[in-house]
Parts: sequence; C-alpha cells; structure tokens
Amino acid sequence: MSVLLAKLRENPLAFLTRMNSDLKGFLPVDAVVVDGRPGLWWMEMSGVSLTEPFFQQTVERARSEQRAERFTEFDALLSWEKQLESVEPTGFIFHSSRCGSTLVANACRAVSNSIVLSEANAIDKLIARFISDADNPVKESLYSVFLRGVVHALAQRRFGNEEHLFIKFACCSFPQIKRIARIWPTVPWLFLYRDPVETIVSNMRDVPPWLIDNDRRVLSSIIGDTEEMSLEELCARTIGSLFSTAYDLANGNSMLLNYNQLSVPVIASVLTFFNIDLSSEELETIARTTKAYSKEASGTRAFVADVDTKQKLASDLVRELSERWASEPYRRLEQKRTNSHERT
Amino acid sequence: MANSSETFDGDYGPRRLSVELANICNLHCSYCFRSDDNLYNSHAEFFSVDLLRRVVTEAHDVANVTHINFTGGEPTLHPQFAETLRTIGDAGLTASFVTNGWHFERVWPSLQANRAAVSHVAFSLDGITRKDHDRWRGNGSFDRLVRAFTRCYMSQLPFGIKIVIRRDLVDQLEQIAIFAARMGAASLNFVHVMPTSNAEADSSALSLDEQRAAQQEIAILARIFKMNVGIDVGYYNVDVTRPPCAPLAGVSMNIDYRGRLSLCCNLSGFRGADQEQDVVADLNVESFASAYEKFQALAAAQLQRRKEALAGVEAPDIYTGSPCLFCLQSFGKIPWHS
Repeated sequence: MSVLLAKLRENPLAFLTRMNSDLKGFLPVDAVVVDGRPGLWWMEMSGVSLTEPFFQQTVERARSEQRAERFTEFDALLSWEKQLESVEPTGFIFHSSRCGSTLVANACRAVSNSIVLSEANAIDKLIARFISDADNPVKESLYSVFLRGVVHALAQRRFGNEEHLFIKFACCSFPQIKRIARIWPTVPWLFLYRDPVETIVSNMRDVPPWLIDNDRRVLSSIIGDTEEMSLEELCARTIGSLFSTAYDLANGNSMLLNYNQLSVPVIASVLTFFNIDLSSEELETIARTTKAYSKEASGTRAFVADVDTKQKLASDLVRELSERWASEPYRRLEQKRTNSHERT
Repeated sequence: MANSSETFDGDYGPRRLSVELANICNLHCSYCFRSDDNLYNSHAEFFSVDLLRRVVTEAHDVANVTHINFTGGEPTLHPQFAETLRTIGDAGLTASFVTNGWHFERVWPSLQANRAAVSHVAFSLDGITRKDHDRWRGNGSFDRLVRAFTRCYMSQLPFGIKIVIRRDLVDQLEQIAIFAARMGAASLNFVHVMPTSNAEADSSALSLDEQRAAQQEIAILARIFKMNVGIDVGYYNVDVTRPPCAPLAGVSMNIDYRGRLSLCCNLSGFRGADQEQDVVADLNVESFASAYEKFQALAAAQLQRRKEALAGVEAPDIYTGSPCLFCLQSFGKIPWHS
C-alpha cells in the first residue's frame, strides 16, 4: 500500500483519474484518509472466496498474491455500485467481543450460497466516521449512503449464485445500531454476549486493537472520558455499555444470545431467526465448524469452551471492575433474554 | 464548470470566451435571469458561424483565449450547432457548453463528430427527483437529463452539473452531491440565485447567513468527493487583494448572441435591466483587438470601483460583498433594488 500512497502523493490528480477508471473485480477493503481526503482502498479480488474467519485475513491472503490495489474517493463507489448486482443483507451479527461471534459467523458461512463479511474494515471504519465526524455539519445521511454503497459493493454477486449476506460487525460498531437499523430496518440482528468477567479476562490475555487504539473518539463515544484509565476498566466499562445498549434496543427484530448457550441447535436457531432453512448437509457442516477454533483461518485448531479457565484467571481487579461497570447491565440483559425466551 | 475552481484554489481557469449561441430557450424557468423578452418574445437569433470563426481566431491571437464556453438561451437550439463545435476544433481550441439537456439526444452526433474539441458539458439541474426537477423544467425534463448524463458517462465525456441554490434546495446540498456522484459527474457547481426582482430575492435567494452556512457545507462536500464540488462566484467575498472572479481578472469575457463583447455572462441580457454599460464593443463592426482593449479597461475600472466600495466599510451588505450582486447593481441591472 505504501508504494501506491507514494504515487498518489506524487501526482494525486493523474493517479486518481487513472484509478477510478475501472473497478471491475475490485472490492473495497478499507476506509482510509489520504492527504486529508476520505475514501476507499480497493483490492482486485477476482476469484477470491471470503473463506477466512475475518475479512481482513482474506485481504492479507489476496495481498500476498500481489493483486492490484487502488484508492478512490467515495464518488467511484456511488457511480460503480449502481452497475453491480448484489445480495441484500440477510442478518447482522453484533457482539460484546470474545463471546463466540466468530463461531456464529463461521456457521453462517456453512449456509450454501452465502457471503459472510466478518469485521470488514471498510464497513466498521465507515461506521466509526459517524462518531469521528460528528462535529461536521455534513449530516449522517452522507456516511449512511456510503455505508450502504460499501456493503453493496462487498456483497456483489461475484460467483453468480450468492443468495445470502451475513455481516458481523466489530464490537465497537454496535452502539451505532440505531443508524444501521435506519439503513436496513427489516434486517434481523443478533447480539451475542458473555459473562463480563470472562470477557475482560479474554481481552486482557490478548488485547485487541480497539482497546489500545490511540484515537479514543470511538471509545469515548461509548463510555465518555477515557483518560487515566486501565485497560481493564476501559474494557469493563465498554462491555457494560454494550450490554446496556442491547438491553435498551433489543426488540422483535433482534435476538439475544449468551456465549454459554452456544451449541449446534442454538446456532441453527440463529439461522432460522435469520430466515434460513438449513439442509441436513448444512447442519452437519455447522456441527463440524463449532468444533474448530472460530478465529483460526485453517479451521483445524479445536474449539474448547473455556468458561472455567477464564473465571480462574480473573484477578480481583477484574472482578471488582466487572462488578462496578458491567455486572448489573449483564444481569438485566440476561433477564431480558430469559424473559423473552419464556414468552416465546 | 470552468468557474468552479475559482472558489477554493484561486485559479481562474483558462483564458476563455462565453459565447451566447442563441437568444431563445425551449424551457421557461421562473428564476432565470436572462431577459424574458429575448428568450420568449423576440425572434430567434443565432450567433453567426462566420463571426464565430473570425472572433475565435482573433481572440486566440490577441488574448491567448484557448477555450470557448457556449451559453444562451439554450445553445443546442443553434441550427448549426455541429458547425460551431467544428469551428472551435478547427481553430485548435476547446469548447464546452451549458445546457438544460432537453435536446441532448439530438445534438449527440454533433458531439461525437467533434469529440476532440469538446472538453466537457455542463447541465442545469433543479432537483434530484423527477418531481422536483420537472416542477421547474417541465415533464420529461429529468428523464432526458439522466439519459444525457448516462450518455456522457458511458462515453467518458466529462460532464458537470450546475444547480442554483434556491431556498427550497438549501437543505439538500448533501443529497445533491450524492446524486451527482451517482450520475458520475466530474463536477458539481452550486450557484447562488441572481435575483431579478425583490419578490424573487425574498422567495428564492439566500440571506447572507444562509449563504455562509451553505458555503461551509459545500466546502466540506468538496473535501469528501473527488468530483470538483464548488460554488460559482457570487458568494460573499470582501477580499480586495485579488480579483474575485475571472471576468474582473481579465481571464473570461462574454459575447452576446448579437456579437457584442461584454464583461460577464451573468450580466448579459439581464432580466429587468435598464442599462448595458457592461457591453464594450460590437464585434460585427469592430476588431477583437480593439474590443479587447476596451474590455480590459472596463474590467480594471470595475475592479477599482469594487475596491473603493469595500474600502473602510466594516461589514459590507450582501449587495456590496457579493461580486455578482455588486456588478449587477453598479451596471444598472437591478433597478428594483434601491
């Protein structure tokens, strides 16, 4: 990418004019800002299946094949998307991090003729712009249009038989659910979560980028002031806030799911909730998928439920912060889930 | 389109002539600033191709003019439209034109035949939906326009969209930009209303505060989109260190459909005007070289007049701070405004 950026800086007009001429075969792989101009980074992805657990892993695989890459401003997306035949979203997966959402996304991948976009940068970074550009008088509808366009471009029928589109968002995108639902009001959505102590322990053992991002605007929008705060507290307050949002916004078009419920029948029920009729072959594939570690690209590492391990590893600090910031929202959310389950 | 860069980077564009190919128009937009009598109540008059040929050559030699922008009325109504484009191409210059798009299908073969000479086309838009646009420009206008956009886009002929920021459109700037980008426009030029009466100014034109808010939003849109998003001169600008527009910088001139050289296309044939001090020479009987000298003198004098009007005034009103409104007033184009 750096060589292309250098060319772009050398002669931006010539480079951009050339770049926008043809996006056939390209997918938007990132939302970036180049020389102060926001836009999209595209990669030629002809023939590349989105088989990896995360979209970015697929991008890295494609990048290793020396595929063409391009920067365009959003204009190219808007004039290009109308030429594409794309799949409309089937279901959205939101989560509070480290709670089995990738496992569910992988199960969606087992559905025939499906596209699964798992934490695609272009999508989640555009959603973040709702926050980072909040003081900008240009209204949110502009980025809503771009977001819809990016999803449209990513969901293009590249192989001709695609019928379903599942999108798993990054955890920090969940607070923007209202805006997302305004764009796709009828698409059912799942919120997956987990005991807060276990979630914090998992995040502390392998700290994710969203917790250590120098740009704190997104986290600040979720929990307020982030100054002078330990990672444990950042994490506890964030997931507590996500639980509260889920509690407030879960409705008839959504499904709440706790990590401790994850099993083949429950995952199958998620897909039923997404209006998918599973075949026996697809169910078998899902059963096989749940035995593999969800985030491992090769699909060979075994998945082991680690509830006990995570609880044992929890420090007093983690327990205290969990209790202060996340336990009560978690309990309320659990109550809402079980009440809704009892009703159904 | 040629004016768009004046807003944000100070480039006045190529040295150019605006040439009114016709006095008439097939549409009747109530806010249009061209004289009603010329557009609808007079015999059709078309710019002479022979005169065009002579003027273009002389303007190139004398003033280093490299680009001709055809306006009107509606330029595509000129019966020898293809010939006018060929004339520009033969002279080694480039041409563009501003159109309502109604007759675009008819002139399309002319454009294809002279593609090398045509740098771009600018289309006038009044709304981003069929209903909104056709309300001003008649049924079928929007469809024809979108078909014209598609023609240009598929043929890689750059096109721009011009839209007047009436008060009823000011909340839609962002949607207009999205629409233009979807159509594949190379540029989007917002234009402030050129008021032709007190009633028009009150109902359609933005106040100074509204203008400022709109300009701020347009500046942000310009940062986000690749297409050239800008605002034509006419916005409030009290900087006296440099000319506010291409005509006052001596870079752009206008020739009306009768063949008379004048200061600016926005002043020419202005609806309700009672003076024509902006007209400097009749090119039918005078050489371009001689007319050009008069033009330069007029542009310099007007620039000086503007500087003096702005000097010592702490907060000039919009009729002084806006270059277009200042010229309209000082050239006697808006006698209704006291």
